[in-house]
Amino acid sequence: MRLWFVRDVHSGAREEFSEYLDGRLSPQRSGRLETHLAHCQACRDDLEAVRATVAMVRALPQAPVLRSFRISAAQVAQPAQGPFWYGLLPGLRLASAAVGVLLLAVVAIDVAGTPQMASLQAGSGAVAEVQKAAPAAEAPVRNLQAPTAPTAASSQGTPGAGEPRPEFGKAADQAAPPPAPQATLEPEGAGSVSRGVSQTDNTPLRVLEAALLATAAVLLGVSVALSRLGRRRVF
Amino acid sequence: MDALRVSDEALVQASRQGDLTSFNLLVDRYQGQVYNVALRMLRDSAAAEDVTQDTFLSAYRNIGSYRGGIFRAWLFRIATNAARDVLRRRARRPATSLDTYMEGETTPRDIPDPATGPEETALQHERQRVLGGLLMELPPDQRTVLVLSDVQGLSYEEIAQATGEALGTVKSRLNRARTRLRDLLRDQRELFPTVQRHNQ
Repeated sequence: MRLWFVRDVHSGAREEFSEYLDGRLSPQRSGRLETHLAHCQACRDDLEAVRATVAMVRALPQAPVLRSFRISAAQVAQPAQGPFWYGLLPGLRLASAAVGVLLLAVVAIDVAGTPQMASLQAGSGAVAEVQKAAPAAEAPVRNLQAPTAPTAASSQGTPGAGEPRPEFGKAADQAAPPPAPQATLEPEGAGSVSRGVSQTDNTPLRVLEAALLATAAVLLGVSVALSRLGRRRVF
Repeated sequence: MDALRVSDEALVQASRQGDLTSFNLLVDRYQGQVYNVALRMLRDSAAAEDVTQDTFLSAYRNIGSYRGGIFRAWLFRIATNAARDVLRRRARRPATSLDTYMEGETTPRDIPDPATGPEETALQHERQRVLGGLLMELPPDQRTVLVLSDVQGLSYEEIAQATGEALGTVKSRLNRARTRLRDLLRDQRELFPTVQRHNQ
């Protein structure tokens, strides 16, 4: 325990040699270091050795400049040289832009295609969906055909109910609120049918969109990283 | 225009406007220092000349990115980055061994003191040659701060700007560099007796 403590004091002292020699150590820390040096020959020797080393390096002669390094207009006009990836940057940026344009085009095709498909399916799909949910669908159809037996559900949820007959309308007014499922059945049914169909049909487009997005992100990320690296190198 | 009186800031401002003459006044002012930093980092005069020329060319082309501070430190940053590129290229070509640079093509020499005998002069030159070689045994980041501090006399703050490192990092790295160089010098007992321990 004591030995560990003693070694730590020496290591701590040696870490401050440089700042002490350069006069950059605070008075408090300088005082502590000098107190330690007064009792430690090994650290005194090490400090003096560092002092001698610094003096020798500082005494190294400056080499004379044998020619002028002034630059000329012709040198400035020459293209800059740099690491190999400097030349890749314009290509990377162009590729990122091209992939981005392609991605937008694919997304536009996807979006343009989805409503058309939805509308195509709306006529057949909605009826098919209604027929599938037979108990719920039969009531509105039945009610349309049998005006003498109106129900609130049929009156509210069925388009094309046309002009309401008095008894029909009254019944509708007095009836309970329309069943929410039926009221929303058609749009929901139509939407679900069209979504189901479009999901199946547009899957390749979605996959392509995802791939293009990933590619554009990678290209953009690499070009930004290389640009920053280039700027950091200069200054 | 009296080149000696014009400040760095004024010359930089003129350079930003495309005044190559003003920029070349900056070149005249700092080319010796930049060349010596490169030489101490590479120990190859031809490579140091290339780095120096590239440094000033790059500085002029990118003068717009200079954001103030100490212009000399900004120049040294470009120079040390360029020197590190050379060192990395050297490391990728193992045929060029470190020993080549230990000898050094050019060892700057002091003007001999007439009061110093020829033997002492030769010994001094040998010490400088070996010391220059031992600098190459330091890791590049330690060598950089040591050269900037003890060869060029930059302050800690200037070194921090030149290397892009925090002040604390500069201090600890400089301490490690000096300590390591001292240990390397201790291995050359006959040449460097002043760094030995008293009990050795």
